[in-house]
Amino acid sequence: MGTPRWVKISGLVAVVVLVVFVVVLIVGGGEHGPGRHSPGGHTGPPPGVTHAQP
Amino acid sequence: MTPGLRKFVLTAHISVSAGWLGAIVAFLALAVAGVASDDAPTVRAAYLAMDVMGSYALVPLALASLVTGLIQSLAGPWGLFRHYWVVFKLLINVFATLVLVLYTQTLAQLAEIATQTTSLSVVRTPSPLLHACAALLLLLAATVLAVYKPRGLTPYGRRKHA
Repeated sequence: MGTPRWVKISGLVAVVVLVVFVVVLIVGGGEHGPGRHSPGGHTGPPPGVTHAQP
Repeated sequence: MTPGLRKFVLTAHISVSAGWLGAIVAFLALAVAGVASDDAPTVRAAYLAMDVMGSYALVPLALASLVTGLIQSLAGPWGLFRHYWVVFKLLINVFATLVLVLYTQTLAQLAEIATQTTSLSVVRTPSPLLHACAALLLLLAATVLAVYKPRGLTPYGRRKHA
């Protein structure tokens, strides 16, 4: 009794999704995570942005 | 483990896992409001709420699901590495929890931006929406595995079974 077909198909889908993710990451400049949401990767407000009134 | 205790752990695992799934759906609603609403206070509030929800609902539920799942499989008849469906569920749970814990940093940063800026174009990002959709798909896949329990022993399971 070998590996079931559903395991092979699911594994293949997982690998394809992972490869697509890595390719998108590389094409997108390798930035992923908190840093990509603010210019320069710092945690403060983006430069030139108006501060909200309290 | 006694049958009574095993049922208690199973009940806890189902409860926290269903809670995790429900919390993701609620998070998804906030993520949609964050990208689609025209009301500035609603958009900013959505990012603040997503940050709180991530740290105080999603992460605890994810960790509880992982821990109760581990106890359930190790103490129950299925084992942790004997059946492919259990291994797949474990991988999904570990991966989703890991990404979620890392993503709380992004949510904190998005909430900070939402409190400090008035420009909606700066605050808006599809990132929480994409992550919530991916999480929903993964947890639905885990639910399907848990319900259908597709056949298939791992090589380790076959050795144990022989």
